[in-house]
Amino acid sequence: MDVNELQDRIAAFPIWNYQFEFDGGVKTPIADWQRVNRQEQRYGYFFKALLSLTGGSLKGKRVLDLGCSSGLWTLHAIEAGADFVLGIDGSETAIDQAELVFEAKGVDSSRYRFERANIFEYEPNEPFDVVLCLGLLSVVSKPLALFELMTRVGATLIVLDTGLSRAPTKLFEVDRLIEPRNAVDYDMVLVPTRQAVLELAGQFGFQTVPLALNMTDYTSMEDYRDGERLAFICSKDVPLSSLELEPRAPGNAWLASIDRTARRARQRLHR
Amino acid sequence: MDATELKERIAGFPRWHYQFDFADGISTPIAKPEEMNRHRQRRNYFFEALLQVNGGTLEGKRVLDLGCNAGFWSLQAIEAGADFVLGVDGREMHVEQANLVFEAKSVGKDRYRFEEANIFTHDFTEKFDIVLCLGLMYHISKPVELFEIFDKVNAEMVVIDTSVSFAPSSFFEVSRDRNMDDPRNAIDYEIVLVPTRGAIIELAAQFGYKTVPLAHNMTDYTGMHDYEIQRRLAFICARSVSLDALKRETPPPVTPWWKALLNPASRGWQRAAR
Repeated sequence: MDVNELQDRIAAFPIWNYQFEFDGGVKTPIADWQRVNRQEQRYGYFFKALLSLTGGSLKGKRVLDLGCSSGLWTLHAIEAGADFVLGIDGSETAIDQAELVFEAKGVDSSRYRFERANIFEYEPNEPFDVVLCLGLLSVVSKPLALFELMTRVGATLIVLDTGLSRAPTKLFEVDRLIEPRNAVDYDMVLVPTRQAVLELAGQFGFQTVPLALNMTDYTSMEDYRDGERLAFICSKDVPLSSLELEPRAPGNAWLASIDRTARRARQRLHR
Repeated sequence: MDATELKERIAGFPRWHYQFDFADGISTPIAKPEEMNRHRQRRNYFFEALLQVNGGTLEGKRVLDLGCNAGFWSLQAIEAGADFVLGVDGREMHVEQANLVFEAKSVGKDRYRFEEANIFTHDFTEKFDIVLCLGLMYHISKPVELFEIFDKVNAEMVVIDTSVSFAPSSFFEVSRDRNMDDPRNAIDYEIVLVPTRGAIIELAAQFGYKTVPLAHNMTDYTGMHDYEIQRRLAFICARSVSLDALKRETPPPVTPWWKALLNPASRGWQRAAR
């Protein structure tokens, strides 16, 4: 694909959530430039943690990216050496974007597939070693079904990055998405607390570490800074003792968790 | 079935959670006699409320009883005139008990069916007017999938009787059914999600149901400590039938702990502390 064709095909999409850079200086036009920092920081946060557990490479691994959007993390997995990646998203646009990105990056088509599907209706018929579950858990209403799916594909490692309720106990807070079009099934969602994530993963036989924040710049990362978002690594057999644990938030943060207005305002900020 | 045979078949079960009375003074031996009052009071509580909003009878109605145990509430529905009841339970023993009860009560075989199934994997193909969801919700971990069943069978009305969290907000508490061998408890996972009042109301609204938490009308709380401390409650959910006639429960007063948390001054402090 030449530079002009790539530019035309990129421009045909009304919005890009992630910045991708291609040969010839071509980039996708990200709507909010501050989010470039967000994705860099997230890479240094949970993706580096994943690689630290797999010897610095995903070679030999099959990776499933649930809610893959335009394929940013799917691409990171490929660049980290994954044998094969499957990205699933409910949005046709996201899948078209991901396919364009992988084509423009020259990724061998035998190494990836993108599918448009409702993850709760998706019937996997191939195994995966690693699941990326990024920004998904807190926008669905079926946390158990999500873990059933991740267990069914045979995953032994899960990277789980999710919005959180800050209540200091194990619960799922009922909330509503302010942008129902983002909903997988319903605009009503169940937002877990940190302890609820640990209980849920434990029920499916995963050991879980809430990853210590290591951001160098919190621009566009306020949700992580304020304890409203966190990443976890869940493992069946890989020891997690090398990972640093995020210290527990003080209990008085419970307050903000029952004030849903704050979280909704933040959702608006980050859409 | 003669009296001797009935007695033998009743005795063939290790445990009965409900007392059923048959002809010739034969009864099932209820495991906890103090719960006799509990079941009587529950009948006067949510079952009467269900009849009240249905004009005093379930005639013409098809009823689905989820987690039916030995068929106590299915039988109430039949006795209230329901055309047909399907009872579903995850334990084989409960299905066998329910079949025995209905046979001994001589209910026409075309009016009922009991099935052993995990409700979350069972394919419900029939339509029902009313769903009874009694003592089930706090034993499960998939509240949204539960409401999808109500929606799938096209239920106009649902009766939910459940333990609730004390909190005055809208969430599900993660809890555990410690003893999964207890036949009343969870069938798939040990982890369960216990709703608050607000969570049930919001969840029902997502599926198009208006909900009334029913005001208590108990005359005796023997064997009903959970209801007495407002830790357990029944709700009637309806899509189009008016529930205006039902008396709503007044939620328990907010505890000092909660008051402090809801205090706007401390919320300001919280923001300043960020």
